[in-house]
Amino acid sequence: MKKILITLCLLILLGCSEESASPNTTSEAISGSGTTGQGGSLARFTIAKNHLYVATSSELFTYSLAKSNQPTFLKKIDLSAGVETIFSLGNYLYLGTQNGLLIFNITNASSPTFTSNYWHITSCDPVVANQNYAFVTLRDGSECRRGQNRLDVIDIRDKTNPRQVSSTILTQPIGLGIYNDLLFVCDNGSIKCFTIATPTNPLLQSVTQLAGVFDIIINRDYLLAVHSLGVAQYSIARNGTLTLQSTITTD
Amino acid sequence: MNNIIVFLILLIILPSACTEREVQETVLGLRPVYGTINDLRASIKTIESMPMKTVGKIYVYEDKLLINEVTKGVHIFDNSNPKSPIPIKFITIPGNLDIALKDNFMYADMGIGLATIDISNLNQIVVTSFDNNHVSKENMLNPTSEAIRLIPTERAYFECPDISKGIILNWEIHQMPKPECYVTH
Repeated sequence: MKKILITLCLLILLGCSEESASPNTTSEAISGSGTTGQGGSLARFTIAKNHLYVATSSELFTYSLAKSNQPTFLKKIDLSAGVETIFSLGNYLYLGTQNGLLIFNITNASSPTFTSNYWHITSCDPVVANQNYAFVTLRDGSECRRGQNRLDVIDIRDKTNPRQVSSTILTQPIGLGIYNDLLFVCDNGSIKCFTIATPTNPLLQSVTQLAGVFDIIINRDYLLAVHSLGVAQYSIARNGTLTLQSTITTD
Repeated sequence: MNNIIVFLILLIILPSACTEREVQETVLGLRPVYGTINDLRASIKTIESMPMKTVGKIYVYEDKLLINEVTKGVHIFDNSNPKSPIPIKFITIPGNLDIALKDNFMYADMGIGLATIDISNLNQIVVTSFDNNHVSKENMLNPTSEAIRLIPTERAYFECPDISKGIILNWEIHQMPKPECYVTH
């Protein structure tokens, strides 16, 4: 992650300013309760309960969005190094790290408090969750040489005591997303669909080939898959079958 | 006669000594380019949509699909029909990898800070806030990995940053007296 942060540190290119003159395509403003978007499972930013949480490799930053135009920094929590992803659901944040899963309570959104962790062998791992289970992929890779390649399901009904309930060997899993009782996992150039109706025993339903796929977003009944050469969008059938709708590709 | 010999010896030694010193003390290194927060803000702008090169993370916001161009910015597509996403604009955000959106405000990392951008009018986006007070010093002061890659030697030397000169916008490669700071590849 240090690498990513250094990368982040940029390349500031001043310039390149062809101001546009095309017609305005302003979207309808949605006021009131607040509209937020949705990132993939590899995100380091998440918005929950009107707060922005940012996970760097070794810190969790909390900003209040009470003034949307000017986030107010509230808190920095030091974490063990190797944090890679953040996911929020309800009153909890789930952080995927190279050593395991960290759970924070955001009942008081301004001040996340550490709830528990689930440690595993050093691997790279994003995490997604529903109310009862967290799904974590572990993979080896340049930064995780001792890693394993598997999908772990962790019972989080008791947030203070996460327990692994199953582990499925995969090839090189990375991003993942939940759609009702289905779990889609990017694994070595394919999107694998598991039924998680019985979370203790995820069953492979179908496989969709997509070279270089590394993360997905499930948005309503669509699955957006990002891969090394672009983005592919699929509609999701009830049984998990994906039907390609469109692709956006690199030059 | 002795004087002439001494003179000849000096003639031979002096130039070579100078050359040697130069070889020892000059390296190809990185020099920070300093600027202000306003320079950073000015670098965030919308331009016409352009082809993707290095695809990063994606984000869905209302009917829009946003695709990060790694460390360069964000491609914005109108995705109201997932069968045919339409490119709208590209927002240049140097250093960017991650974004999140709420109420038409985009929160974007720039490596050395967090930018807030009002995107309600994509023809005229506005940077409404920039926070660079909460990023660790190390991240602000070390050369970027892209810059380090330009240095062929194992040790990438760089001029030790002087924060009194401003924030570091970029790194340039120069022949320079060997500085004290370096990172190892």
